[in-house]
Amino acid sequence: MTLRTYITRRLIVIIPTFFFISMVIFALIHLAPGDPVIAMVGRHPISYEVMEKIRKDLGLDKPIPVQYVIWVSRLLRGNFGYSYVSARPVINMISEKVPRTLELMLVAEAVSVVIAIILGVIAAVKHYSLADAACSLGALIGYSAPNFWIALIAMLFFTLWLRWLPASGTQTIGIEFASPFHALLDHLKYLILPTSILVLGWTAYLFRMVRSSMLEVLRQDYITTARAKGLKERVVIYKHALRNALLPVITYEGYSIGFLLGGAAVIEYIFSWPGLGQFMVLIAESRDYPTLMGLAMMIALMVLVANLCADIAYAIVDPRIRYD
Amino acid sequence: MTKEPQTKSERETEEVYEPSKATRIFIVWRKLKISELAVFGFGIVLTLAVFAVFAPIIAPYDPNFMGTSMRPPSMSHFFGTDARGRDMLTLVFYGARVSLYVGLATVALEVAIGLAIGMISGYFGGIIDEVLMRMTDVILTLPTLPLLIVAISMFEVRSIHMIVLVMGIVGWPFIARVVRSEFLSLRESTFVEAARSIGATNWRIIVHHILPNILSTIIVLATMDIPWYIFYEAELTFLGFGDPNSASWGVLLERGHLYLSSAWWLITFPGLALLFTSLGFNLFGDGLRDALDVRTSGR
Amino acid sequence: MSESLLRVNDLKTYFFTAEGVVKAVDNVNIEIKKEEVLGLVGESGCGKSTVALSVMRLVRDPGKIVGGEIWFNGEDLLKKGEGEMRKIRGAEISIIFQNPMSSLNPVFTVGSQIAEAIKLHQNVEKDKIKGKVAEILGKVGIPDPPKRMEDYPHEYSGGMAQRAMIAMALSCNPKLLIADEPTTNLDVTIQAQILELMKDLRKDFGASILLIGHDLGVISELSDKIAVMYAGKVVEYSDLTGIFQKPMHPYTQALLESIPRLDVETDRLRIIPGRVPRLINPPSGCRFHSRCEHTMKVCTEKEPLLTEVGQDHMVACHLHTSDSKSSNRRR
Repeated sequence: MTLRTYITRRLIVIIPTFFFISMVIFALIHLAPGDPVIAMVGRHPISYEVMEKIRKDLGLDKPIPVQYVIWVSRLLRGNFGYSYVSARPVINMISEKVPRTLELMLVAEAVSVVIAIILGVIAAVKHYSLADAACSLGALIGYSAPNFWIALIAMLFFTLWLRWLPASGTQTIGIEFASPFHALLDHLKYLILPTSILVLGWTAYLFRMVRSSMLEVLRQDYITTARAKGLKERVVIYKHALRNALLPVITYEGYSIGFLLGGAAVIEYIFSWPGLGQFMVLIAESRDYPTLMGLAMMIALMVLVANLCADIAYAIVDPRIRYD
Repeated sequence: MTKEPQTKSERETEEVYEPSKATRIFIVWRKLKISELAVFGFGIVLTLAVFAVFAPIIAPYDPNFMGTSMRPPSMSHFFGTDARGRDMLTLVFYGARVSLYVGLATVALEVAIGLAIGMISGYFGGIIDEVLMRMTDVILTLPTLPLLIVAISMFEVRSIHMIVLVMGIVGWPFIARVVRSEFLSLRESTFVEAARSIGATNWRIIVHHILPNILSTIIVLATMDIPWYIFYEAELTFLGFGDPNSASWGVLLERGHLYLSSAWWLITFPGLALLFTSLGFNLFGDGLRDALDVRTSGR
Repeated sequence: MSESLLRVNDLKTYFFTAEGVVKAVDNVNIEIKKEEVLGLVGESGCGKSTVALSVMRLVRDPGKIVGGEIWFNGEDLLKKGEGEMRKIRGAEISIIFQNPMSSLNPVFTVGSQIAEAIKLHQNVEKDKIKGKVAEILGKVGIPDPPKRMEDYPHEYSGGMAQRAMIAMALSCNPKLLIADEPTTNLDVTIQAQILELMKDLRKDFGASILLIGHDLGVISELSDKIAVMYAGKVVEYSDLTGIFQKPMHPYTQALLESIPRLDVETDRLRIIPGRVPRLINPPSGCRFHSRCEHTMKVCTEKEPLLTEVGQDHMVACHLHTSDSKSSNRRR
């Protein structure tokens, strides 16, 4: 099948998945014990009638399946709900935060991929050497270390003791009055710590994948054939081996969004980085159900899109997959 | 063809044959590498277990004893004391109990559910399989931590057991999927065919033939998952979704991070404990996987 | 008498594994003349593939060539640097492997992989390369080359893939083609086709072939001479008549006898008792002695050397040699 057919098929599959996820999220949130209106209202002395009105406004008096349909139909039109706690449409709040999180994730992703591939290839090619052992050990530690703890230690070191880097927010107050160049530089200073923590964990994981994939590929017959043709070792590794080794890595990159979002949640919280992760932690505590649902769907959507991109990239690179 | 007299050729062979020093070190290194790290990892795990089980005996102080507060590490308090004057070393020991419990209990739960669902899905196939696998896909796609946060925040009760329950319920899809695919591939294998041909019932085939083979994979997966759950519990607690009354390392970190600038020891040691626990299980799990792999591939 | 193209003298290739040193190739001597086909026969694990890789100097860790000489076109390949070897690989000596499907890189088209070899070793203009690839694919019998060369390996059948491999190997007109079990993984009918193809190509390209395999019948289809290997050593070497009509080594005899025959009634097939010895600690003396019917005391003590017992016929067996004949130097 052609690439186009493959993409079309994949896109079509997303639709039932999307609905399924929406059902799961809806069920999860509505299955929770407790009355959402009471939770929202909290300690405020509100009369019964007002509560009933709120209930009606939110449509909470309708049967659950109906509520679900209403919610999903609004979702499809881009209406992610309205937060009563903050008195704003959910979509507005989310769209402020998404770029911040994307910034973190994309930078972390880019840096991790580059480092992991370079080191992974070196480790695989120099299998059993000191370089391999050192990288593998480093990766193991990076993979095993609790990311929020590393974040705290980094904060301790770089912010409190060395005073090199800031530990909260995205920019210094008043920087907007300086030149754009200085603003960028300033912003970068804030970006370094949170991004580095994410990079640490993800590079460790990716490195292991690249290394094992590369080792597997280097064992293959076609690598011997390539050498037998008289190709330089560098060509054998970077042209013949790497292309094949990176195939499964593309799939893992699809998972990266799950990993990075999770990591982002706690990292953003620690560094007061105003992104989706921090947002999620804050509203989860406040029981703002509409927002929570909207946010959950947004995250799910991001993950689905990322997976789709990974699958398409894989299909482009591996000619075998399209012929299934 | 030319031929040399035997003795001279043999002598030459002897000279050339002696492997260089580098090669010899290389051989020994390879022999060790496979087992040494795994043993080290196992050692860590064992130490952890000992700490957990014997905490009341090994710990230098009673966990509720309150001495001078906010003391940095010293001879009498190796890990310092916290805001209430409790000895950190003791607290870390007791924390091991909770964390270990969380790790093991959650993994037990996820394996129980995942095994059951995976086998059901594989055995019955058809619509049951389709539905279960769709559910599995959905849960697997969603990022774990946000999912846990959403799930936990739904419940008023914040107990450590609740956390275990929620994590176990979120964690089964991965196991289920692996179990299912192994089940399906084993079902088609020749030794199952052979068993069937001599009249073994379905039940016997599943329990006696297929299950033991799946078990080795599951053991590896379970071992690798334990540190993740210990870690997730700590993370959830740190973010405020945990059980403030439990003595887990997450609670220590959550309490301690408020005093980051003044009392660095409050978070350093619990964090190191987490790090080593994770390291231990990962090393051990890696070694375990290599060992089991070798057996099945018959190298 | 045609000249010698390849002469392997006392080749030793050992593998330094964690369990010990595996003497996979232990003092092997073979010779291939120009435009000659030598069949190297032996069971799995006897070291024949290692010989092939050693000639190409493609032996990787933990294997190492630890002794001997490989004379090719008047030069000792073992004394050459890696850069010089690269010029020889693919251009002067080519190799094809047992499993064609896994020997081709799955992410590149077949045509591009052949073109790669041509680009590397030959001075062909860019726009002429595609033509050359199509030409060589046509020569190996692949239908519709211009279309098929844009296909990926997984779109080829086993037989076609092997033809493509042969095309790639011959694309730069090598003097020596090493074929390591080229037909083992193919159906019998395809096997026959490939052998026919190789016969034709041998004439067209004038190359010598080192044909490696474990099936005497298949190997003899194409070979002029046959070398029988056992446990890392060559035990018998002769032309076809010598091997089939006057096999001298007990192993060769046993091999021939264990082939089931349609014209003779037999109740049981002849088997060779025992197992191939582990090459980590090979038995002393002759490596076949534990399975041989004619073992003598000397067989357990001294290793027999390859000695001439007839015109172009050499055997490594104490039955046919005595110490007076053993230091026989030819040239």
